Amino acid sequence: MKRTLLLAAFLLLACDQQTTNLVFNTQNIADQKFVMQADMNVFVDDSVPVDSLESMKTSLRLIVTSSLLMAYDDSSARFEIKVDSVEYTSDKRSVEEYRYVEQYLSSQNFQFKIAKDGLMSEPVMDNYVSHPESNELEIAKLFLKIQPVFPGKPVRVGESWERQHAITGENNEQIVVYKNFTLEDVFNRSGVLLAKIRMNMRYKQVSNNPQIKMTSEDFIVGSGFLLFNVTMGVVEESVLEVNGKVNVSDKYSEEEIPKLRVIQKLKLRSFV
Amino acid sequence: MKKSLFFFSVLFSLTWAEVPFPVIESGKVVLTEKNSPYLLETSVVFSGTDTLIIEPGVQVFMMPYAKLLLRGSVQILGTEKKPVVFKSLDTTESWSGVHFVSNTAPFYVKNLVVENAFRNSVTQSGGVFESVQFINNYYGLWVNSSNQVYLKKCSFSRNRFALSVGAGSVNVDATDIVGNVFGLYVEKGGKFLGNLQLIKENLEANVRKESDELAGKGKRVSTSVWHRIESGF
Repeated sequence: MKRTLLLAAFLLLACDQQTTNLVFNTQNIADQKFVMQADMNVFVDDSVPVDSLESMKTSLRLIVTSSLLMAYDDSSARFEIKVDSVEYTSDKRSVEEYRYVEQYLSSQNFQFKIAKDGLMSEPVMDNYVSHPESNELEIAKLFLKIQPVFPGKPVRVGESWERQHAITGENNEQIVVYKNFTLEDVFNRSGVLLAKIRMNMRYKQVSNNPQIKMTSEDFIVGSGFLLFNVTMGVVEESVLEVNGKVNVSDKYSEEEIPKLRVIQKLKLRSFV
Repeated sequence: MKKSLFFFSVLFSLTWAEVPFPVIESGKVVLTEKNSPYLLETSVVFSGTDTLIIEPGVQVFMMPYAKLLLRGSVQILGTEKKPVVFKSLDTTESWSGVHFVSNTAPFYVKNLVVENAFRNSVTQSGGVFESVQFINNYYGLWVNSSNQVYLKKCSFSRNRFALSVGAGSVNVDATDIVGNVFGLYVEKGGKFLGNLQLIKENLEANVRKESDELAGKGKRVSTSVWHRIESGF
């Protein structure tokens, strides 16, 4: 009995001390398909009755294929995301506009460089001519937002780390996104080692455009989790809810625009 | 007989083959009538330091969702007899449109016909459209965040939304907006400076003002602000 208890205590201790190396596969990975769901709800941030609330709801569903283009000696790689299909709706656009948005999003294939810790850089669109002044949507931004960044060293369950990366805004302004992660669990499912990771993020919306500005006084915050396939070195699933208050102003407009609260829900899931 | 027919058809196709839209070299592109018609297959962007000059009589055919994004100096110089034409290659498909985004140099566009685009736009720019025809586009012309845009002797017909004015203003002179679904749409913060009498016989409405529509519903946020947040967040 004593021996069994001792063994159990030893195993418990051993598991507790076990570390997991969270590393993206950047060297020999086959094409992967993902489904990305991005829902946005925006509403006027003041106290008015719910039935007269001004709001916007949009929904975007993408199926994309991620392909390894080039593996580099420093363990980083260049990937390409190709858009296979797009479904879009918004209660602030017409059906003809849905189709137009779907068409231009379907041509927004893009490439990026990724380090083995997940840090993405140099995102470039393949053939797409971006026109942010006309409020065109960009899918690369969604992937950058939900992308995890690992600590670059083995971690234990319960351990946290913070990483930051820059997202280039529409006028080339650099938005620094601070992401905080905690490894919550590591488990085996059908012979595959999975890591469950909690993800929190915060950033300030900034704008260099002197004519039209969208900024946030406080941090925009996000929280969610991801399931990382440690065996394969790929994200299996990721969920992130981003929430913040923004101010919009236009140099040529005399209108006073109320502060608006934005809730964005992003879900990324690997399949096939 | 067969041989001469074949020869004739080859000659005909060679004569009418579209020239690919030229690559921007040394910061300048000149489209000439001699090389016309041109074909724009995907999209092209002229940076703030590039110049586009189009001579009279030039036709540019657009593939579906082709986009012409002009951030630099633009001179489109059609004449009454030899207008410049931008239209889709397949008239059943629309193309993205021509977009003027230059706060460095004012554009000058004369005797141009723009057909079958989803949306043509001017943002954060100034310039002159003279004798320009906007035909059968979804948004004929959308002017936003600009207050130095002049429309002179232009016409809008068979567009879904003929002229939309976002934040800023548009100066309009002797311009007909007739036979569209919606004539003029003035977004909240926008100003139309011109003769409203020339906006007539549009199917659903001649003039709509977003501020009136919002006030009627007790709302304050314009569509462009919603779209702005959606794209910028």
